[in-house]
Amino acid sequence: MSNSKIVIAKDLYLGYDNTIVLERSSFYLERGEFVFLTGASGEGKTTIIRHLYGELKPKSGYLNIGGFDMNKISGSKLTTLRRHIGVVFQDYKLIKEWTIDKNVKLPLMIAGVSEEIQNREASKLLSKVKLAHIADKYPYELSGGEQQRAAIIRALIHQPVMILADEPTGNLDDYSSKLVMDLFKFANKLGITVLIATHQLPVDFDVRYRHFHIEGKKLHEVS
Amino acid sequence: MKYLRNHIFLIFALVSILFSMEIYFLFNKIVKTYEEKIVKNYTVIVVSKKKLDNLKLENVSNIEQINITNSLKNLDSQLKSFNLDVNKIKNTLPYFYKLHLKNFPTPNSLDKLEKTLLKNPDIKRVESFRQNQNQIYNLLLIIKLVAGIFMLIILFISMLLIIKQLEVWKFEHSQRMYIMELFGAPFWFRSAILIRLAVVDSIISIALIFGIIEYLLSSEMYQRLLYQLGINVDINIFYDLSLFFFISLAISIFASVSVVLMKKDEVL
Repeated sequence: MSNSKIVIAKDLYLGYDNTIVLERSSFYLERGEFVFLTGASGEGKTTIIRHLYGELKPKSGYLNIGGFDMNKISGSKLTTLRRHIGVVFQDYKLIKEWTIDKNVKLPLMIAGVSEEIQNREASKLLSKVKLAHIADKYPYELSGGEQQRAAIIRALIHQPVMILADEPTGNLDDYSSKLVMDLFKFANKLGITVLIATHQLPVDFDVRYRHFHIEGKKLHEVS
Repeated sequence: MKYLRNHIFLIFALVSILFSMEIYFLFNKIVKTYEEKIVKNYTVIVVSKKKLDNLKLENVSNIEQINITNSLKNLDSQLKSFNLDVNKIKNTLPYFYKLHLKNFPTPNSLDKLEKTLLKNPDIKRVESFRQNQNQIYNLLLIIKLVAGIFMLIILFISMLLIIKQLEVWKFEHSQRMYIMELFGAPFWFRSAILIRLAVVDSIISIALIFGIIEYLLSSEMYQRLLYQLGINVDINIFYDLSLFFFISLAISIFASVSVVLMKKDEVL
């Protein structure tokens, strides 16, 4: 994953089942960029995100992520690719029977990192987002904002090359949304490419970003 | 309690499969031991005009000539008033032989043996006494057959229970496995929890089946059956349990891996 372009799409058609949500689109994402993907509900933001972490295969066209051709990627290579990507969802997707601490450590456990490093990294990041005192609690014992902060920590703890977030502030109040956005900025400062799919751009966003908008099955960059 | 509720189908299915197998194995052993006992005590009597010196037969381990002198002497002492000439009678009598068999004779093999023997012109008569042992042996064969059918039915019903359990597990574990998959967890990592549960279920099943077998083998009914058959069945319970543990582990790991594989194409 040494190229500066982390995502390359050419003449891409994306969709699911018999539905096409994106037609003949070409774009790229550079390493370390902050990117917003906007569009109305049902336009296909989630479908694009799902293609970017390999849950769906492109209908046609070329999509390369981190050097992997997503049309031809094998199961084992997809597993490898996903270890370099962090994902964040509107509904957090924390493992409900695990504590926050264990949830946050999941990518490091998968990577086979020693327990000592897992504990150190989890403790450092949970302290940063002021969740250290509730590390041993279960997701259902936390507020939506706290769960989402934990989910973002989980997405960046293994220092991925890219974080994909699908409506990460969709269920949160303004205060929690701001905390969550601050976390994405922090991740981006570490050099991680951040792509956030949202129906609305945040106000007073003080980080340089690129903005893509999807409408009528076309994706265009807003200057 | 929640654990038991989520695993009861698999544990029940495993215990049922293992129990039906144990019953089948047990009747196999009883029948085999009974066959050995019959073979040990069983002989075919052959009456021949001449001495049978070079008789070689399939499934016959030993040919023993019956010494009739003692029998005639007994007869002479009981019938003194008749003043029997034992030697004279002996010379007029044919030769009697006992044939010891290698294996338990089936009705077919006895028919075959009788026919082969009667082809010899010197042999006048063959007595196999087949009626004496056939009734009990046939009853045992029927019980063995019923145990085999019982085992197959239990296997079928248990497989349905296991499928039901897989659906419960799939529902219960799919979210966690999906999340792990999103972060690039390999197959073994996603299956680890289920496999651990499967091993625990196998151990619980083995403990239960151990209790059931112990109870069964020490039950009065079982002891009475062996006594009436006049046999002593040697059961290596640790061998059986090791075999059962392997079988239950294989079934439960198969069930766990199936859940992970079934999850693969599903999108939450």
